[in-house]
Amino acid sequence: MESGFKFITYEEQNATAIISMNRPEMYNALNAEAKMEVVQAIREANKNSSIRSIILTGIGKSFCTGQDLNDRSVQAQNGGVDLGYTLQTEWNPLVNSIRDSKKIVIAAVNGVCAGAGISVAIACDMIISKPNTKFVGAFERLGLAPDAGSTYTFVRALGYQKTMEFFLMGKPLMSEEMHAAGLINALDEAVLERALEYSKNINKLSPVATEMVKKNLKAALDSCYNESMEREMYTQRFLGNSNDYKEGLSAFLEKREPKFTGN
Amino acid sequence: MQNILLEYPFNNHRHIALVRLNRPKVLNALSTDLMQELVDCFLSLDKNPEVRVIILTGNERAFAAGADIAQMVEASPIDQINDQRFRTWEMLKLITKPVIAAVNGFALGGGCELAMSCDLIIAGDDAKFSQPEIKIGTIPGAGGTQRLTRAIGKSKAMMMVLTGEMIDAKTAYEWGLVAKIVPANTLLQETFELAKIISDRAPVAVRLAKEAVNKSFEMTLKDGMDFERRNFYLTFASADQKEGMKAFMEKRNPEYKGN
Repeated sequence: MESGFKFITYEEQNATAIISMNRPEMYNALNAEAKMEVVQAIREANKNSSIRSIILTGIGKSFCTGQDLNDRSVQAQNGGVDLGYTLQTEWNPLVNSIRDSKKIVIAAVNGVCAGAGISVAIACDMIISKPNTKFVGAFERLGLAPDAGSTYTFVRALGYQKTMEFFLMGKPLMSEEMHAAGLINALDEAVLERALEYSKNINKLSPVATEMVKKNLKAALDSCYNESMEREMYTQRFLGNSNDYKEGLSAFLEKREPKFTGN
Repeated sequence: MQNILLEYPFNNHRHIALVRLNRPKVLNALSTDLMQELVDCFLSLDKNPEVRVIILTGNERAFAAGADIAQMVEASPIDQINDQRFRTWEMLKLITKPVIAAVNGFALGGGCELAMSCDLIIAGDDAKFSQPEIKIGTIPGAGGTQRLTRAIGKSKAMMMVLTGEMIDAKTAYEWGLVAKIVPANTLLQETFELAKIISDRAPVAVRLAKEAVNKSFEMTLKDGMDFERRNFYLTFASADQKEGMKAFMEKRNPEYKGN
């Protein structure tokens, strides 16, 4: 597929879209344009009905090291700088494009994540990482606070005290710790191959059901038990009328693999 | 009728009608023609004794993205006065049966005002609401400063009307603008479930109840209470009230006839 991207590569393997951040000389720090390319690629993958899941990875030794500090928009020398605006117009749209993606996004963490790079990784629906990989907050070193959704996600996943330590003490979290804490699904040297295995399994599922699983899990993090129960009810009433459910049921009874279409 | 589509009976339910705004290319911008068709359609549904609940919806991307700006760029105040558009908006108030707005996607400007003109709003979780008129040098003209303020309070309404910024479905729910949020792709299904419940209730009582709730925005508490009381007495003139109470005593489901 002709991509026309400058800072990322986009390829399709069967029903999986692979988006690779491609500024290895910059350790995959992202400037404004690079971020918008990721957003665009995720949107395109979502529009393409032959794509069922997305892998986000990096080329080179790093997954993503966050903000490109050479970008003029974040330089502090010339009077004021509005990092809030950088978040609002660049990082938040990037992280939200992953969160809002109807298709599951798997991070294949091929190397170090730093700054908002950890926010990008942690925004993904599943994470496969190389062993012995560092996740570095780095915000405290710059006199900043965590951003791009990492506050919300880490405190929910890691707990309050551990998150405080991570964001203040400057010690990287290792992929092994993240795995033990349930933030990483699998550790594997062959990180992309492993991510592709995960995506292959996802690609076999009913896309509409998968989309609703994702939405409902996200909603459950923000709602009470009763709200979540209601959502489950609405969802199941909806899916119970889908062709995919009919197919799933008959495949089960006929002891064969279902063929889901997303209808 | 191209600007709106009527599905009646909706889901083979003889008491429920679905009206879709149907200008998908322009995010259902509310042209004068569309509003006229909508009001004509609502009035005829209101007259049809079989219809008990009306659902108004747009499409996946937009409920309605507001008035038709293209129609207005060069308009003079006199053009605006002469335009029939606001007269048709006024006529929405004449509908006596419950109208539920089922909102997916954008409900902006006139779209937000149209949703608020309905009796209640159910939103898909991707819905977005705003009164963005201020961004193009004007202000809401179909209730955006009035209904919104009554729905969410002055401070929040001011923020929305003065900035023109959007709020998402969850915020709209928390602020009391919408009654319920459901997963976006289940919106019509769940609105239908709600419409079914309302259509099972005694139609005369439903109409009197709607009228009384709406009066609360127009009257002092004392006058509103008096109005409510009169409508309460009036339900006792209906056969359905007798049936409802009898069924309750006999521990069975009531069968309402709408009289």
